[in-house]
Amino acid sequence: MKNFVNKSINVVVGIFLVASLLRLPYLSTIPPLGVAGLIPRIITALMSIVTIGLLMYIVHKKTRNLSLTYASGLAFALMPWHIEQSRIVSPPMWALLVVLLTYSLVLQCNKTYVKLAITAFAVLVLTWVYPGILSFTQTSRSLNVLAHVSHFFRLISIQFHFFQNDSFWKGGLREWGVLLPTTLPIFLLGLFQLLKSVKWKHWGYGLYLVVIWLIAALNPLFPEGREFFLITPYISIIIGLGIIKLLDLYKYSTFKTKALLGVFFLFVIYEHLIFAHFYLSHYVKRIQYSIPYEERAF
Amino acid sequence: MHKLLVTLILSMRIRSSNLFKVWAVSILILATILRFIYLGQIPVSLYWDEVAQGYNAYSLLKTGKDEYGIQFPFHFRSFDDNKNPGYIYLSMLPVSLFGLNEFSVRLTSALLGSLTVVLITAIAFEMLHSSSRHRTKSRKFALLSGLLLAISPWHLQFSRAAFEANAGLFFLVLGVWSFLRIQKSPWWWYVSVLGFGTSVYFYRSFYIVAPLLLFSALWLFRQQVRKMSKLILVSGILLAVLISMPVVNFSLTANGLLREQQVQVFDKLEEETYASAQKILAHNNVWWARVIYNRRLVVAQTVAQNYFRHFLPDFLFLRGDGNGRHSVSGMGYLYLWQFPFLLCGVYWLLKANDRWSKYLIVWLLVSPIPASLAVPSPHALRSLTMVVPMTLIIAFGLTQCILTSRYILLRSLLIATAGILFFIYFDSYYHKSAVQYAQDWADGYKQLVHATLARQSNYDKTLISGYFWKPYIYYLFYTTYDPALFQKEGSSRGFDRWVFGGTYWGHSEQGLESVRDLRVYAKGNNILVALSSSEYNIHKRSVGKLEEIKDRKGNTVFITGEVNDETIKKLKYEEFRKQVY
Repeated sequence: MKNFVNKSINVVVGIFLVASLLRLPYLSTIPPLGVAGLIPRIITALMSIVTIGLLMYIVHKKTRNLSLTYASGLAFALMPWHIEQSRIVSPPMWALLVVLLTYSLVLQCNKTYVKLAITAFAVLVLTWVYPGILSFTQTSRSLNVLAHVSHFFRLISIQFHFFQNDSFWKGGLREWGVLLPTTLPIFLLGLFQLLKSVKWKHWGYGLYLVVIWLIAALNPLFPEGREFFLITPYISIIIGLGIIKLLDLYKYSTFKTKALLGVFFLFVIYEHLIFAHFYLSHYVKRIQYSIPYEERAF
Repeated sequence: MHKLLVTLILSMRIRSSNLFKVWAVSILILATILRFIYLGQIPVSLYWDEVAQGYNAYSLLKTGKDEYGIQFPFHFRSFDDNKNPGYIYLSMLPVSLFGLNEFSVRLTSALLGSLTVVLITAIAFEMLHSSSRHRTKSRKFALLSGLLLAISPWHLQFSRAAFEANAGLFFLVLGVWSFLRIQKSPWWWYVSVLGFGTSVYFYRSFYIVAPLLLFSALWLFRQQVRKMSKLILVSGILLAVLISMPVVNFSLTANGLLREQQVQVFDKLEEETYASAQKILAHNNVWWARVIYNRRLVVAQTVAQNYFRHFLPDFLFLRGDGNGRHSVSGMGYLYLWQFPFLLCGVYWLLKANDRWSKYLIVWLLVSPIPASLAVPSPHALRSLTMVVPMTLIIAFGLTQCILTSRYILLRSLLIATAGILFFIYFDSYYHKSAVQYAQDWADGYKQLVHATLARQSNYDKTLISGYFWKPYIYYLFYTTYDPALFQKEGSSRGFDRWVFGGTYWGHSEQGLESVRDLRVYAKGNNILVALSSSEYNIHKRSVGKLEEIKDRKGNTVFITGEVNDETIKKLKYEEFRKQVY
């Protein structure tokens, strides 16, 4: 851990600075304060910043790849879904912290029984901080197979991820996807890299993904549930892989390709600025005037 | 001993090759049966475009001109949508052989659909046979690809009706298959460009897809292409340009662009672009507002969304595009059991990293481009070319995951699941959906024509509602009206003793709902009318009801009645009696 931080203190500080700037300012007004008050909101925002650090630690510990560590951390810090959930009182964010913290601790331990004990304790804490994760257990009474299959598909659709996150929790930012559209090529590139290099021995990571996917899709209140938020570290790592590949391409390409990639990077920045503008200006107004709607929905 | 071994191996090869042929022929037979069985009866009725294609083919056959009297046109004006000519010209033969009926109109599509199954088998074989790593699996992969396309809900749906895109797909696939064979003989290059060039005669999506596929093939298989002489290469490209020029050229004229203007996405975003203009004005037209709220971005985002909607699993596996003519009830275009194999196929394809695997990915990515530029989106017909790469990818996933595995139980389970889902689809297509989507297939027109023909001798004129759009074409089709006479005297508003109303939403048309006196409109004193239910409710004081025309679902589509002095008197008297008593 020490080595990891010492080596690249500037980059890590930079990422935390970006994360803090996106999560802490105007926390009492954007989005408008709910009944929970400011303190729990500040706590959630701080927790979200910790999750970024934990993700970077886990990636570094597992891959020993500093570039991937930074890229994943940056992707996590800039992810619209993560930002949105950081700025409200969000049980899924607490759950994410528990998951990442547990995995970090497990990585530190050598003895299996300690690992199991930590995991069992973490499951208890998880259900305490985020009881909604057990909603799927109530689904069997009205089991409609095709509807649930549709939920499965919706959660992995490009529409949901990049264009319209239409799950409408309080403070939900439905006008944008979980990620910004310009992230799509980077995501696909990262996915391509991942599929090329993934091996069968990594099946455990896939299992976690499938379990969360199942839990989210089986929620009887779909699409209001937010369980799928727990897969965001995966998305960040995939985008991280994409960023590295893109930077490699930039490094070893001709002038024309460099120019093209440069335009693309500018476009990515431009879209992030638009998102920031929308979030700071229009979204706040929309939320203010949609209180009756929120009352009905929640 | 050595000789014996060689003989044995050779005989095994022959046997295995024979087995391959037997399987391939069986799949072709299956594909043909699935596409030809009850072809005239299911779908339940010919929809507007099918009838127009059939009658124009008949008109060409009899007079050498289309319904508007234009001699052997490159575009058929039809419903002012300028239909591409390929399907109509190909339909001339079946119409001349079997007469003007449902079967002959759909025959071309069904036949070319069956032959596409043969071509996809051949493509799959060529693709894997050329790969040193996967050569041993080429036959299994080829047969599986053929089988999957033979039973594909997507392909079956469009092969069993006169969809031009399906016929065009055959030529496109022919182009790709021939291209894969240019190593064997450069003459295949000419067949290939002929295939690509001809496909644009069938459907407008191919204007974009065909050249993109041709040029990506040239790029990805450039090593083989370089072995061809430059003369052959250039002459082939010139041939493609020459073939496609007449039809593409017309499409770029103002008349040719009419249909594009009706469906293109750019004009449908007025509200969104207006909203972005308002936001710019609200910020006093400053430069950063012009950048942030730029209307071009709104259009770009919509096009991108439309494009990616074609990859939505919900669209592909569960719901389809919502058009009753494009899918069966409760199903998408691929079977649910194929989902994991699609993912596996993509995974193995990326791992394979061959030229052909790259070409399949390009094909898949190029296919939805035309559909993303139009509304509504997603659109299964405009993105029909996706069906081929999808099928090949699923077949590849299956070949890699299951066929090479030793788990017999897993294989049996898969076959059972696939079989059950196929029979569910089969039942849905031939029973439930045939009835459920009767209205989408314009069911009711044929019954109406026969009902009015039986009665019309007692009346001066027959007035037919245009509520459900373009009734004239059904009268031309089912009465096999003399095309020469229609070209001379007829129009979509009337011919012979038939007069047709318009739609309330049509340009320069008048729906019968807004007509005050039906007899004045029809220019007759004693007229037979066929109205929609809503039109009948408006005119029921003057229309003596005769019969209700229902579709297969049991919904009333038309109500026939008579309008004359006697009926009106009778109706007035009954109304008076009701008021008094």
